[in-house]
This record gives sequence, structure tokens and C-alpha cells, in this order.
Amino acid sequence: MIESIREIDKLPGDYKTEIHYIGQILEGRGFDTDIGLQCEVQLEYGESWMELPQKSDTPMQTQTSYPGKDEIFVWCHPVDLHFATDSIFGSPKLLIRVWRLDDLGRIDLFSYGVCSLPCTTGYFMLNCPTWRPIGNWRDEAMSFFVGGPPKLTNEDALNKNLDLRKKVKTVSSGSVYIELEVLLKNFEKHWTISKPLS
Amino acid sequence: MDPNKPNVVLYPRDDRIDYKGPKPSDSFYDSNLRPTVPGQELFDEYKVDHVPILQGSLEDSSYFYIYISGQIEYSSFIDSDCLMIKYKFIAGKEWERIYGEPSGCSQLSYKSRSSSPKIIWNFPFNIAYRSTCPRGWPQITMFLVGPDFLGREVVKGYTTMHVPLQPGRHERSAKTFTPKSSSILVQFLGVLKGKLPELVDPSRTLAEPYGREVIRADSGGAVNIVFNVAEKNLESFGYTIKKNIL
Repeated sequence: MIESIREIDKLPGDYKTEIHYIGQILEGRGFDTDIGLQCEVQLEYGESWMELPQKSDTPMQTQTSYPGKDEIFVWCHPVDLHFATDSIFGSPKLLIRVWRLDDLGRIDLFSYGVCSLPCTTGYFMLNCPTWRPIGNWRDEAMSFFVGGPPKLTNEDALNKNLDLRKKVKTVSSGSVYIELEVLLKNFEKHWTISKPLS
Repeated sequence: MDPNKPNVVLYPRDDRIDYKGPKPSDSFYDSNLRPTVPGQELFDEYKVDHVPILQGSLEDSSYFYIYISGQIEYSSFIDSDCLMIKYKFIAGKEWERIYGEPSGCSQLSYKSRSSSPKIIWNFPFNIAYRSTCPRGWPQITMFLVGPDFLGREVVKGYTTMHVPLQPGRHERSAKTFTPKSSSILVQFLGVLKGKLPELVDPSRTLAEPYGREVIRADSGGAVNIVFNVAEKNLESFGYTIKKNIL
């Protein structure tokens, strides 16, 4: 049994706790529009987590998809993530932003969402409901007739600084479906509850 | 198989499908050029007269092995009456294919006149891989091809799907999409010429998460697939496996 995080650092690589997330950003449903939508997914994780083989700088962005007869936006975007970790705290979350591409070629923000990733082995169909902020009646009228819906000026309100959430008024939107399979390495014996080093 | 021959033949290193590197030529997938030792003894558990495992053979505990068999069953594609499906398996850098065909092309199948029309192919596949890291887990990329109104072959859908990670029998469904023309004029000319928009290198474009943001696509139907997955050595690498998924 491992007692301190220093001891983990001495472990050879084969005994580090690792986690694989393999799957797809499948589709969007219930967005109630017929123009193209694209989904941007950004990773956020704690200090004791390390992304392998290197930290990704840019968020994943799917194709622009137009709905079919069943009003499903198919993205079909593969996800293959690999993390090594010293502690279970700060497990990865996905920050989801759905953008819309209208007929004039303008790209506007459509909705936000946060989705935390599972921590057990298995197959998961994650359903992430999304929302977008609303402004006053003038902003809403502007966005309805002209375009350019209101968006968050400080995106820390998504996950980092949750105190900001109580200042935001939002309206519900559709949901993003993410299909993930999780594969854990050495979690049964070696996973630890310890605070990050700093 | 000749038992006198040492069982040391593996694929040439260029045969591994590479996400970033140069594309291997299709001649590697020609069955005449493939070595005649497919690693069958790994998967025949009850075979009595098995070939003795020699040094440097496929049985190597520094790899884990995954064997995938299954079939592409049917598609519920609303817009088309008849379709053909092509598949290609693609895996990451560290993965080596040790058995089976990586790509295939099914028959052209028509809808029946039943109340719930499906396009049934029932097209089987068998493939085995070995690797040391699950990163770049194999994906099956599929392209739906069908005739247009003049009988020319056009692409009617693309989709991709990861092979299931857990052993057992899995029934999965993959939604398809079709690339969209950049303008109405190009779309009109494309329909006349029989050249609808296609992806240039489809299986790598589908399997990679990069560069997809430039595509605009229409959503289409779905393809149903059955996977039977068997895994070896994955537990001795420390990975958690759920045993009883059936």
C-alpha cells in the first residue's frame, strides 16, 4: 500500500495509475434549429493529472453538421485521451461549447455545457445538457433578428469559479451525446487520495 | 502450416497503419504478398496438434492481444434504396495487425418491401491486433456507396466507430454523415457530373481528431454492427477488465 505521494514518484512507470478515455463525440439532439452546429470540447483537469503524450493546447473541434430528418446533428468525432495521475482529485472535465454557422458565414456561440468524465471501467453514453446565457429584451431581440446572441465574458463561470454562476441568467438548449469507454490501469491497487503537491 | 518452418514471420514494419506517417501502399494488403503464418495458434484454444511456440514467435508476453470478429449487419438509411458498404480498420502507431484483412467491400444490397425497411449486408470481418499501449485503439471506418440516378457510384455516407474495449459481444450503432458542397452551384454541377463531395483520404480523416473543423456535413442514417471481442494479456498489464459483459 502506498502511503505518500513521494512514494508514488519512485514507482516505475508500469505501476502509475493511468486512465484511457476512448470514444466519440457522437451527436447533438434537441437544439431546435436547422442551421449548422459545431461542437468544441476543451479539457480541464487538476494539477496532479498529466495528459499523455503531451498536453493538448487547442480544444477538439468537430465538423459543422446540419440536421437530418430526425433532427440529430451527427458529429462522429473520435476521442482518444490518455492521462497519468498521482491522485484522483481533479478528475478531467469536458467544457463543451456549441457554435453555430449561419447562412451568412457568421460563427456565433450557441450554448455551453460541462461534463465530468466517469472514473470506473466500462462503456458510458454521456448526455450533457447545455445552456446559454440570456440578456435583457434588447439583447434577445437583437440576437433574434440580427444574430450575435449573448455569451459569457468570463468563461471561468463554467467550471473554475462557480461563484460567478449566480450572476448569470440562462436559457436551456439541446444536449450533446458523448460515447466513452474508460480503461483504468493499476487503479484497483494503487489509486490514492492525496492532495496535489503544490 | 508447415511445422518445420520456424514461426518467426511477422509483417514488415511499414505495414502498420500510421496516423501521421506516410500512407502504406495497398499492395501490402494483397493476400498474395502476406506471409502465410497468420498467428492462428493464438486463438485455437482446443487445438491438439498446435505448432510449438518458438522464440520470437507471436506469443510474446510483452504485448497484449485483441481479436475482433463480427459483422456489419444492416443500415437504416432513409434516402437510398440500395447501398454497398466498404470498411477499413485503422489503428495507432504502436499497433500491429497480426491476423485478418484490414479492409473489405460488401455486396450491393437493396431494401426489402417490408414495413420496416432495412438494407441488410450481414458482412463478416475477422482481425487481430497486438500492441503495448491502448492509445490509438483500432477503429472501423465505414463508407456507404450507392448508385445515383444515372447508376454512377457516389458516396452516400461516412462513419467511424471504435472497437469496444471490453471483451464480450457488443451491438453498436453508428450514425453516418455526408459531406456538403460549398455552394449551391457546385452542388448542382456535382449532381450532374456524378461527383458529389468526398473526403480525400477518408479513413484517416475519419479516424484522426484533427482537421475535421473544415468539413460541413449533412446527417444521415445509421449502421448497426456486432463486435465479438477477445483480449489477452491486458490484465497482466494492469488494466481493469469487466469479465461478464455479454
